[in-house]
Amino acid sequence: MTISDAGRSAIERAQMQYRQELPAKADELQRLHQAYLQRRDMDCQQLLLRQTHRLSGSAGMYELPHLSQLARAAHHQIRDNPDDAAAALSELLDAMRKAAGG
Amino acid sequence: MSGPADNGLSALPGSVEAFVQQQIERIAAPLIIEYTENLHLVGHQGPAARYGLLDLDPGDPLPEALDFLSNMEHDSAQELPFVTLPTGKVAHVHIQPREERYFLILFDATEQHELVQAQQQQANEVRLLNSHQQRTMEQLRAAKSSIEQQRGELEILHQAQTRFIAMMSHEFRTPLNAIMGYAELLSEEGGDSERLGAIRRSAWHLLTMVENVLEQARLGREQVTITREPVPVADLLRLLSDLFQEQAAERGLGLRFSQSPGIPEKLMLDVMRVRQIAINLIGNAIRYTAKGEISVNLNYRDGRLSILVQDSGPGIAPAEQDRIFRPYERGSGSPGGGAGLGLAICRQLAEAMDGSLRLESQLGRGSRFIFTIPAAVPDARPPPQLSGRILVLDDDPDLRQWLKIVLSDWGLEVSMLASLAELQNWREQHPSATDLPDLLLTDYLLEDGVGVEAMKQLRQLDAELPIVMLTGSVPAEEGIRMTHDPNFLLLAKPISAAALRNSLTRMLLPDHQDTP
Repeated sequence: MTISDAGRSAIERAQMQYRQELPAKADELQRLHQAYLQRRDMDCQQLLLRQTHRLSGSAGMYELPHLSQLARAAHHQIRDNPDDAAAALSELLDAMRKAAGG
Repeated sequence: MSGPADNGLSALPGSVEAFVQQQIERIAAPLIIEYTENLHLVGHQGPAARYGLLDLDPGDPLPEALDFLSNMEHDSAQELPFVTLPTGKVAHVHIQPREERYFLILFDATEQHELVQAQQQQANEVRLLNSHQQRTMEQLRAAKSSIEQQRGELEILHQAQTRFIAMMSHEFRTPLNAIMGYAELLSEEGGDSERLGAIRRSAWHLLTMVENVLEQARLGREQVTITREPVPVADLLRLLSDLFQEQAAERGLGLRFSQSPGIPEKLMLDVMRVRQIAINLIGNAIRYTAKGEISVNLNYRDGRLSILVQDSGPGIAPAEQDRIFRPYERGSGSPGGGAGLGLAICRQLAEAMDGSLRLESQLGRGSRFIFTIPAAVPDARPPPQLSGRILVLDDDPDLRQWLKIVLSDWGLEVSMLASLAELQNWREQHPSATDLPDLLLTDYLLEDGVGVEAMKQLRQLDAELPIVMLTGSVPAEEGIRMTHDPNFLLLAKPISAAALRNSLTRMLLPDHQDTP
């Protein structure tokens, strides 16, 4: 057994907390994206990249593989074609908000 | 010939002097002609015939061959090297006036002249070659510059193509997900299941194609990171069966899964990659087979797992068997659809796992794809107890929390840092080598730098400090360079707890006989 029962419980608690924090993180991503679109602010683009990158890693660890994949897709889109990342990001934000209730 | 200028040489024996004289006459053939101020011959000594000067009778005017003398001063010594006489001979010409007498002295220089001419010819050829070489070098430089420019343009084109593919793929994927979702919803609400099934299948097919395009674009620029963990083989078979039984039944095809005797219950596999390859192969078999049966067999021999997918489809002509593994190429009997990427991706992934993907097929007799990878049997013993101090460096608080829970659960003493700046502080507070952790677990990309920097800092204190680096994506070149280090492991995020524990066991307990 990789994780003890106590460890499993701790992970489940952390997962719950992680899910609960997802809507706030989605709001922050949305705010950064809007700021980027309005001002073409490169700092905002960098923050978006960092946060989607983080999300892609952490969501997978917290057993949300679909969210991890969407974050990865959004990350690539923001990196490669930031002016046309709205659809990818919107899909990710929806999934984040839904995961919080799941 | 002897005298004070001879550097102490005593008078030469007559025979030596005679020999020297003989050699001078043989090689230089001196011809001495005495003539008057008005260019009449007084007399001569030497081989006149060798110079083509015949009939040199005293009192006669000098022969025509020596007409060049009429344009020369005769009052002082003169020297004319390499004079070509009308007779064809080349001579060094000297004029020596002595007390109202004039002497013309000719030395045969024909051979010397030929030699000089040959040398000149050689020098000219060398100059010509140098000039050719210089022109060739210039052409090479121009060609190189042109190639570099073309390479740059190709790289820009490749990047643009990759961006375009990624963007287009995404634009396809978003509505496709919606189509599939709504079709599912309508089906649950009691809609026409046959037609909704057709919509779902078509959307699923299109989605698979788009995913393949995305994967190919990713494979073009990122290193494939393989993470193995213990996988129950029965679970893998069950998942594949659940995925495809309905699809095969709808096409009236049999789909049979089997496993050869002796296959271990669990194997160390990168389950995501293995599943991806198997799904592609079985999906293709169903798509290309009009009637009959598809069989999927797993067998295990000499530490290698083989997945054989056999169909009763039309088969693939020998000439096409290599081509179908190339990106964007499809067999001529393809039923339509598909970007021609699935098999190319599968083969790349199989090779990234040190495995292979090959095809055996005959026209009219179906095809058999054989996917083989090394797959160790996981250690059946209880996992060894881990102990030691781990320094975790990750800027993501969520990941730090997850790592803290699992690492502590495994009995490890954990210190958490969020940045390179915090590492700097930690080092100031823990200056001694004995303070060093037993392992550094670091993220590749940090807010204030890269994990490689932390690795370098701590490796200055302990050159063999075990380091595990987690990464979402690492530039391929750097990844390859770092993986040459035996005390270094690069792990792809997300990673399962089992795969992480397996990796930490390898690093902290190198003597433990672990599965690779």
